[in-house]
Amino acid sequence: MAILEYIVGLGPSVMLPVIIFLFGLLVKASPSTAFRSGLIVGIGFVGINLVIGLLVNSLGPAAKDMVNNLGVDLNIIDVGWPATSAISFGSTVGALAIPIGLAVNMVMLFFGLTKTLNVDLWNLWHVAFTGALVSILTGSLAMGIVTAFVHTIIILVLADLTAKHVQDYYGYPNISFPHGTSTPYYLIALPMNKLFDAIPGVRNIKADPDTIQKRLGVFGEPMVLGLILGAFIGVLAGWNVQEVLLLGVQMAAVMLLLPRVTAILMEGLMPISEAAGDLVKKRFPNRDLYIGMDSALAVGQPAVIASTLLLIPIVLGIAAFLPGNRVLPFADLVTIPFIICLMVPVFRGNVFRTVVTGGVAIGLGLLIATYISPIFTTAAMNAGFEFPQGTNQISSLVDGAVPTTAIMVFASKLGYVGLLGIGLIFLVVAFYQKKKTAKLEAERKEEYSA
Amino acid sequence: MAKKIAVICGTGAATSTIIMSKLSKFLKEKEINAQTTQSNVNAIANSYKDFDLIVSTTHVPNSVTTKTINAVPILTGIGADKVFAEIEEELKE
Repeated sequence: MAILEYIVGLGPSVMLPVIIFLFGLLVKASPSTAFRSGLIVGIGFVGINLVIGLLVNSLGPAAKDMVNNLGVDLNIIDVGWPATSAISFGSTVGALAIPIGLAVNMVMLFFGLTKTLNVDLWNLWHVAFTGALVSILTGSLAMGIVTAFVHTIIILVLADLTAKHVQDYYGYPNISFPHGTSTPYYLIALPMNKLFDAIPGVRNIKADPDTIQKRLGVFGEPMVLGLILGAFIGVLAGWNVQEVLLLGVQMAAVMLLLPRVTAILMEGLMPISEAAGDLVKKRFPNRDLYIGMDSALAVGQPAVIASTLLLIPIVLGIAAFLPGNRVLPFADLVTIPFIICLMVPVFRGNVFRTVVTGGVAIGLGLLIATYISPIFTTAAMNAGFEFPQGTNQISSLVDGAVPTTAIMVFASKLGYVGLLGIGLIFLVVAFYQKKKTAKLEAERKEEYSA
Repeated sequence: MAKKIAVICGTGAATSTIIMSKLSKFLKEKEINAQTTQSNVNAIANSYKDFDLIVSTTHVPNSVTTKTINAVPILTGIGADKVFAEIEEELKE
């Protein structure tokens, strides 16, 4: 126990390499691969820390001056999913997220409660995230670990539910998206679609994705968006031309560098993730399974991109005028595709419906992101992210604004009963799904024999 | 002259990293001289003209006229050889 405490005390850029190395050996990667992987993950962590430093130190003062200048209180900076994932994996629960994710997946596969074999271990950061928040909120590591367990179940069940859309709409057979950000919004899209269908006039509104992409495409490029936003916020802050231009280029740099440094973290995790995936695949051969993949596969679809381009200014507008919101959306504006990519199939590519639903969902999400920002900031500090004294708070849209984040945080306030209750609900859904699939297969067999 | 390949995904961070590493290994083994760049789908819509080939794990806008190869099989492992053969073929010309 003392050893574990000592390792965690070293901070994530030292702790993660050690843990990745040990986990690598456990899943039978060679010692040299495991060592390299661990070190690269540590380097990725250091890189993300540097870029987030640039973001907070340059956008932070602008956000503060904007508050003074305009009275728009958007003082919480959206640091985006790259930082959120690093903070999550850098937490104590995060260090256990991959083994937890694998264990839950194996057990659910064994009992037939899921058809998804998740080989996308990177995206277990989502369960590390809620786990880390809950453990900080409750002061109990055990509660955080239970949260990670329950959240893994939720994501696997939702991945099964949405797999048919991944196949029919996106054209990826035998693939599902056990993705913490994308899947929950499917449950919002279902009732919204019914609502749209019921309103005369509205039910016929459409928008052409290709035209939107052609007209607005340039603003979707992260570095261009960073430049424009940075300069715009500088102007709103009342800064002079020199400062405005500098902030614009700095924010363009953040947008370009964030995915680059995150790719380093990913590069380190990859060989270990593959070794673990192979090991799990060996356990479940010849079964009709979905391979769980990153929903990044879907985000290039024209309706997804077109809706994102429209949502970027809408989300900024909502952020400025929504009472109670204090989050300044920034780094995750380019992550909006992940939020909407499982809504789009429900709406059959209807951009209008996606934008309205996305706007409502992200708008409410901003309030979640505002609410959790103190815990989020603490999690970042625990993970060794350095902020100057008296600096801004941070949060993110992905996953700070995702409904499951609110569900897990509020459930944890009821104690274990709340968390286990949520887990139980989703297990019941999984059980019902299992029965339904079995019934369908039996009927199919009957048809063939008749 | 070395051909220029863009390896892209939705973010330019996640799945494209996996493809980058596997593609680099493949090119080294086959001793093919090509220059690989990692990028994302929104950037490629503006910069596709700078590349001879795009290897993507996601849908690419219709406006992109550069030859594009779907790299999802490399991720799943099912049919990966076929995709690599296609890439090799494309780089020969």
